[in-house]
Amino acid sequence: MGDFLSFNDLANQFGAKLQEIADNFNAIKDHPSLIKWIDKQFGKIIAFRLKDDENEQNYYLVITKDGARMNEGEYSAFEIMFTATPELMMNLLEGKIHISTELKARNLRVWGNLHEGIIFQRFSQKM
Amino acid sequence: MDVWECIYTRRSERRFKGEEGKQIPGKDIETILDAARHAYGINDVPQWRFLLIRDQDTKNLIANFAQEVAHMIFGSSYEVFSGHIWYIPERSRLAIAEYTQTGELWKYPIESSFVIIPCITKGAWFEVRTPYFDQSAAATGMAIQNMWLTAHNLGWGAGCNAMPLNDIRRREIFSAYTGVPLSWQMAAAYCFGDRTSARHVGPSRSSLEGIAFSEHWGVRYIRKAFLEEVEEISVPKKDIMDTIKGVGHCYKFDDSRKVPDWMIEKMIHAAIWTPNPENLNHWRHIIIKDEKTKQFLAESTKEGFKLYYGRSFEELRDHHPHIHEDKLLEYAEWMLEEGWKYPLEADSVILTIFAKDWTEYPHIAGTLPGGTDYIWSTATGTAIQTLRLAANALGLETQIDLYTVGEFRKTDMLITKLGIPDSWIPLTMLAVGYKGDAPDVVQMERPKFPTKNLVFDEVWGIPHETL
Repeated sequence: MGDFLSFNDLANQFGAKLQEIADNFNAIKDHPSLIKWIDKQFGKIIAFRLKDDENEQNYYLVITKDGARMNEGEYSAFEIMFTATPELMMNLLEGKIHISTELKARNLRVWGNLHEGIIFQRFSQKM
Repeated sequence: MDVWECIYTRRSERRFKGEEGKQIPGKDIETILDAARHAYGINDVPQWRFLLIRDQDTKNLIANFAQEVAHMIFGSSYEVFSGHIWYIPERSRLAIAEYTQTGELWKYPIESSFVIIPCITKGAWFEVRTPYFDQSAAATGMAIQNMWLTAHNLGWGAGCNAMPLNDIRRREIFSAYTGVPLSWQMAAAYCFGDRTSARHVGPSRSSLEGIAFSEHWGVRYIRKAFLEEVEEISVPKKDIMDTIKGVGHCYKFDDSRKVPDWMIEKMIHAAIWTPNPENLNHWRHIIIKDEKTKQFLAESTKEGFKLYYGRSFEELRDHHPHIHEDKLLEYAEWMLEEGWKYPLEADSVILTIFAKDWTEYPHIAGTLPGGTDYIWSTATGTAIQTLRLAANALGLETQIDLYTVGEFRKTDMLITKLGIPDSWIPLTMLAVGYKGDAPDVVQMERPKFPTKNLVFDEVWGIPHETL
């Protein structure tokens, strides 16, 4: 038997990884690079829509200068929302994919401000 | 296409395939034109007429005008132009400037399938003291946003070419060419066509906190997620065409039902992603929930309603041909007694404000007198329409109110009350909430004007022939 993982399994793995990233943001909450990214805004909301032909699961990360919080579900007003399969989304978090390449190949879709997603990916790779 | 997908993935497309691509078929052109009719009109009368241009010589003329004007504007100074592309990395700006200053980028009307020239009334529709110039332009923008989203839904590209009719001389030439009376303001050239490639992402926009205020100018609206854990949200999906056709009037809100904050945020967030000149994000929204402020707004509406619905029976009848004479008094009495209360009964009122003074165009070598004025209010209209579409998709109703913003005295009072700076202009109030119960005669929708009365083929006055 192979290691078949269902959509839900993959989504849960993604959620766990995102929680790990949130914990790491909490550990660096006074870091100059984080403060520079947030600047004079209240924070950033990075949303993820995991999707295949039949399933959909949403997560979002709320990042402020006081820390980060991972939530299951969708948020209405985000800086950026990524939409992709769970596998690609995990690769995005781990820095294994180039966002622009996947956008052009239509494997990844983006609503919102792309530059926020690129900066977020850089943070998540370092964590 | 789902309404959110349509709004967030709509782009300004400026590269079309021309003869090497597909022409937009007549059926799709009719669908795009029809979408415009479902937008707001002051007293349900559209403030616009559209010139539909498919003739190649006319498209060439528009393209040549556009190149001339773009060269004049963007060729004046690299330092000035560099500021206009603030969202592009500095290392890339020089190359973009070198290309842009030739004006070649604006010649895309040549390759487009068709061009729409919106002609906006200069306020000829009302017998009130204030001609509602900017509101007429905004209403045109609302119609344009419907068309733009419809084209996107059908797989076609569209872009606004703000250049060709920017100055009086070129407008006069075009008027002589096409017969557009100068009592109508020609505003830009909207080009539709088979795009060369889809733009996967657009330039970054302001954050929600950057363009939305809470109750008063300068008090930034803060998304609830930054303040507290929010309960689970489920953003409903709805087809864009059903949404476009679903937006209507609402003079009675259910004031016992509160609209969740996330829905108001969703409306504002969607409106950020509407077309706007040079990505200047030249609009702001004040979200008003305070009961005293809503009472103030409702009193303005009451005053306006007294003047409008208290007029002679004959005038009322002529303004409401869709209401039988037997029902007209019932309608007018209800509006005078109850109808004016909607700003107070709504959950929220969103005041949309725009800036006309974002550009230095009038000051570049004294060029382009009276040129770009209407562009700003028209573009803001696309944002207002997006607010309404978003509300409809969320199961909410909206009602546009102009009484508080359309008259100098009331606008002055509003500006003073809400601390709005002089360089910003209140454009519309939008009441938002859940639908309440109103008499059938009030809820009756006025029949839409037929497309052939609103669109002219190639030349002013030639009614559009269904394709």
